[in-house]
Amino acid sequence: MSEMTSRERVYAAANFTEPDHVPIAFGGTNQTTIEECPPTPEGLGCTQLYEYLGLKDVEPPAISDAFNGVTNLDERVMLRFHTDMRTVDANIPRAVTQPDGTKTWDFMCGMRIKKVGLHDEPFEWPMEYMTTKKDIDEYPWPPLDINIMEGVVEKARYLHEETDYFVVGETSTSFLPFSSYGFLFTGTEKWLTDMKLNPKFYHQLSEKLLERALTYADQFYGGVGQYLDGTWIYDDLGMQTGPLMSLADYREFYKPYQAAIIKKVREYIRPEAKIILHSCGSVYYAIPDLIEIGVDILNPIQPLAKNMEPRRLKREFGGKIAFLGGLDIQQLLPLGTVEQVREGVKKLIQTYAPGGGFIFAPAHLIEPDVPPDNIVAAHDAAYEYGKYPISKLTGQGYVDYIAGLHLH
Amino acid sequence: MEIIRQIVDRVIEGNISKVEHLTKEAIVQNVTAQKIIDEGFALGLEGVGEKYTNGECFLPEMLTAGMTVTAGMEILKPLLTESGVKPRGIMVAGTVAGDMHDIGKNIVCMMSEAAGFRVIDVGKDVPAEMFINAARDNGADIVAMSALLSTTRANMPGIIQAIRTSELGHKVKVMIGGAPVTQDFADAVGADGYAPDAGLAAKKAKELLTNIGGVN
Repeated sequence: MSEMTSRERVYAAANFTEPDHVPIAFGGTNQTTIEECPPTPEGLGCTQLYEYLGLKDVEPPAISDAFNGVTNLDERVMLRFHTDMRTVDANIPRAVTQPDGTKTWDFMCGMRIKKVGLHDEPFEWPMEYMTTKKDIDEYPWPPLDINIMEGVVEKARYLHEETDYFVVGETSTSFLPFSSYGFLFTGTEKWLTDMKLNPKFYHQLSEKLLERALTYADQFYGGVGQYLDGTWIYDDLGMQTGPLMSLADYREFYKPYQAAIIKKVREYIRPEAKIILHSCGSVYYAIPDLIEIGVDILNPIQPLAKNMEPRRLKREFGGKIAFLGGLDIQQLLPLGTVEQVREGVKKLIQTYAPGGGFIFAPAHLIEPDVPPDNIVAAHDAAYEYGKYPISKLTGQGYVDYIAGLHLH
Repeated sequence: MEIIRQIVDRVIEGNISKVEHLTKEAIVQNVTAQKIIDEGFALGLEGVGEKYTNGECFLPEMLTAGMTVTAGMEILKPLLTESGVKPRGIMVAGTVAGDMHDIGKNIVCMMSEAAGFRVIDVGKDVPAEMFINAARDNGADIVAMSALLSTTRANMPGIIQAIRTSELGHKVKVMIGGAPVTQDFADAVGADGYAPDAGLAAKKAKELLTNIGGVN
């Protein structure tokens, strides 16, 4: 088979056909990147990788306002790792650092961020006190008409017309409402207990947040939708040991809002473009519903979470939803030897890749405690073992292999 | 006893106002505070904890069940103080330094309180000296630590080491939990106990006390 372009490769995989080799996404999107957590030297994961690769004249890593993902990974790293995706972000006003070092993000509804250990984390939940519609109506909501498109259309057009990469769109407002209700604005406990104790209010607040998401979706996707091959929506439906909520509660309190934003996005993106859902943890329970509302690609497919074994997901959902992620970052990548990482990657690819439907990436942001040689080994192995035809894995599965290594 | 059975069911349902009402009614019926806690709240939380471990219910149900017990305990606290009932044991619980995730730890606190522990919740992003000070000042039997990230789990060995080299030594039992924590890890870092989810942590805490000659 002759070499495909990156764009052709990702589409082939996402459409359940076998490309020339498994697409790779490290660094090409904001959900498959590495962390940089200054000022602690041990927290400079991206800088460590640059040094390991011997890169000179790198730009300082640009870091997301929360969760420390690097958004401007050096192009040479993405070429080295054969990354097939590139991202165009909305140009959203940044959080502002306060005199005490914490940050306030007015655009994201006044959320508060502080450095905790390595990471910049949400805290001091600005909407925690809310229980009534009056509380919602009286909140100092930021405007709905802030320009988030400065330079954005130009970048999207350039990526679409002048490159062969699979172009992914990203706007922070796609976190609304979903679990941003809890993770960013009220705290997770209130989010989950509002469902049970104050469902009317839950929907009122979710509608308000959805209004924000849809309005900014009009601006962002209205501007760049035609240039996108894929776009992210969010957010976490699961945790390590199981779902965050029952299926019934997902269908009542979460699914309608996801469906609404997918419907909005679909007004603007090309029919062949893909909706990519980022949803950490054990989300197996909701996958049939996610397929129903139009999710095309599921990320990060956290392999050690309950019921998220690659064999299970491929067997039950292969050909119905594509998978982006899968490289275990909880044990294998940070704690394995280079040889163990390579063997794990081989098993992962042999499980997910036959028949297409798989894009290789770390199963979330790479933390600063991951040795750079493991990052390189994983992606070199993905390129080496990802060349089609790929024989299906027989014998010990990926998750059992990792468990058997007793990495801790 | 019918009213106790109703309390158990309403705790499992997460019905705060009903549990408050039934708690007051039980007092009127001269049911002791300890009986309400042991056979009502604790059994209710054990019931929901078992369902949680089996995947039959989830965090919203666990959290609301815990909230019913917190509300019920508020009603009972004056009676417990009056009667001079001693706690089963004393637990200091917190999420380790560098980590802001505390739902699991909060559930452990609720369930341990219902199981008869006096619980000192030292919050999140807790360094070693805060655990040590709280344990020393309160005469703790157990220090319970939680972490959600592989990078913050890495802080646990240092905190355990600091506890062991302090005047607390091995007098307190240390139990750990959280998504990246495993039994293997707990054994390797010298923890005395590990629970795979928040629903099982109170049970583990009771076992640890039994092992050091505490009350059953």
